[in-house]
Amino acid sequence: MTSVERVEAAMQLQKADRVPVWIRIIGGLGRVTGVKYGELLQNGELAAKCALETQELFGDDFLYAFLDTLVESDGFGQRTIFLENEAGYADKENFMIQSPDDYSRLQLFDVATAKRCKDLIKMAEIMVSERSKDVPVIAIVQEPLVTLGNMRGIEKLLVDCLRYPEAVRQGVDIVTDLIIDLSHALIGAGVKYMLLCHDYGNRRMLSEELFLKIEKDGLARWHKAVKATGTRIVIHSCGPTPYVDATFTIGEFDCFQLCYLPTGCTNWSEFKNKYGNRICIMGHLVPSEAARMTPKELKRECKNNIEELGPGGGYILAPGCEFPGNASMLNYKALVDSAEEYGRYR
Amino acid sequence: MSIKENTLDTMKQVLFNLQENDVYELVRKALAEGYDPTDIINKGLTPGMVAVGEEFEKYRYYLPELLLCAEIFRASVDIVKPKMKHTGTKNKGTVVLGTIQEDIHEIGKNLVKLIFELAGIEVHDLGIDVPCAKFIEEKSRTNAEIVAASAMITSTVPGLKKLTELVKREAPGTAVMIGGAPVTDSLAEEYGADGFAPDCISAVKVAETLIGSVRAQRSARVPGKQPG
Repeated sequence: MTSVERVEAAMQLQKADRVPVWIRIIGGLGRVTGVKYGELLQNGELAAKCALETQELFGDDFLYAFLDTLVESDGFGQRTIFLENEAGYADKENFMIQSPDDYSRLQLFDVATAKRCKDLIKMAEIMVSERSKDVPVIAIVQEPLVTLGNMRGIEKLLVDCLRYPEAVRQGVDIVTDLIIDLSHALIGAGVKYMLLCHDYGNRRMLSEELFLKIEKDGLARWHKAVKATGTRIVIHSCGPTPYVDATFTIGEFDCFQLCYLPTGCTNWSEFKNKYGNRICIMGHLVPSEAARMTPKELKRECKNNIEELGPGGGYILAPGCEFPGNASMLNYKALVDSAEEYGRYR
Repeated sequence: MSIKENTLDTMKQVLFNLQENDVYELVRKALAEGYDPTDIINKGLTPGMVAVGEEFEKYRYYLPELLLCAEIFRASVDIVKPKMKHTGTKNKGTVVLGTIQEDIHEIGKNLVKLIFELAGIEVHDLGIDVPCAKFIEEKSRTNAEIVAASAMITSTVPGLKKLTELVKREAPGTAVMIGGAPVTDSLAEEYGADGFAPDCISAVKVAETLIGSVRAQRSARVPGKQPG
């Protein structure tokens, strides 16, 4: 089977020849290819080249079109500060949203001309044209609150959600328009799977009630727009106690990438029994732990993951979030090898 | 229960309910009626903040509620402060705080700072991307009981080990607290840190315990003084 067939089988909740596997690295791309991380983040062509070389080296089942979580906010005009070998950050001395009134003043922009969106789309286009016949391309957009947090500061945004929910919702509406445009551009480039970074939909950030009050309408609109293109949606929620059931009230999704269990499940087998006939499950290695393990320990952990979630198909072995860039490259290999060694379906 | 206690109970309750304007109104009214400003803080506002912290630990309140409560608390203290006589309030301890070198993620660090200050702990915040030597320098300047640092990304976590070793070597008798998303209790133990907390509320409890231990050790070392 090709990776395209293997991943699609898992998304259809079927067994493939083996469990598909995704390393999910962006920070590590520079180290693998000898390029400065800060440089590749600002150059879509270079990022695509590094991602293609890395996928070829390790042989996992996805190509990942992602630069960082600041692509959308940068397009709105929020200054990004880039570092040489680390991820960049939004300039906190000059947040664009200075008061609740500023949420509604955000100006939608053209993703085809905004520098970083253009880089991301370029990255996807190159990966699609080079290898999408065999390996599917998965691209990422940020849920609106992530982008608003980059432009307001997370602490102020969280308080605004309580104090000025209507103002925040106006911001969510505008950012939703943007991620619909960006998703359409990425899908137009040939991306097969859209991954939504869903960092606020868990108990670490907002109550379930407040999360739905602020983001449900926007996410439902995005869901409808992406689904209308026939593209599959992967929800990424790496925080503790993700709101899986609440997310389903937004719409039906194809896959959930997780690190931690939601409420109502005490172990992963239980999670599989509860949701396995509804969604493909991706995860659940905890990245910081996976980075510290020896390759042997990591393989043992992968074996456990596969035994818990692999039976019957509908499972993709992966970390619950980015595999840390400073991890041993032997661990990247151990992850991919584990799918081959322990994930074969008979 | 006296009328005064009733008012302070109400203050606690409205803060707990995050009724922002009601809190300010009640604080102003209490001052106008001659309430002791220290009582307003210690018996009205602080119990309200503590109650919110308890709800946060039980997942009945979340980060937005905790942050809003802290904002209301601070604004209320600002109203009360001009009426306070300088009575030389007891220092509950001093902490040097920052994110470890090359780490710029500060939301967790800021939350810890906020909650420490509300608990009466003096915080010297060195900000983000702080070199280990800077922590030692600030510790020497302030004689802090604790050096506390956080790391949010796995690539910067080893810096916490370096800092712990440096503090143990250069500033013995100082406790080290570490935290951040990739940090665990077992990692803190492996690095030789004295304290770890998974969130800002439990961090206060850990810090208070460590401050007590450090002070006891320090006073035991002073000739003629008995350990506490």
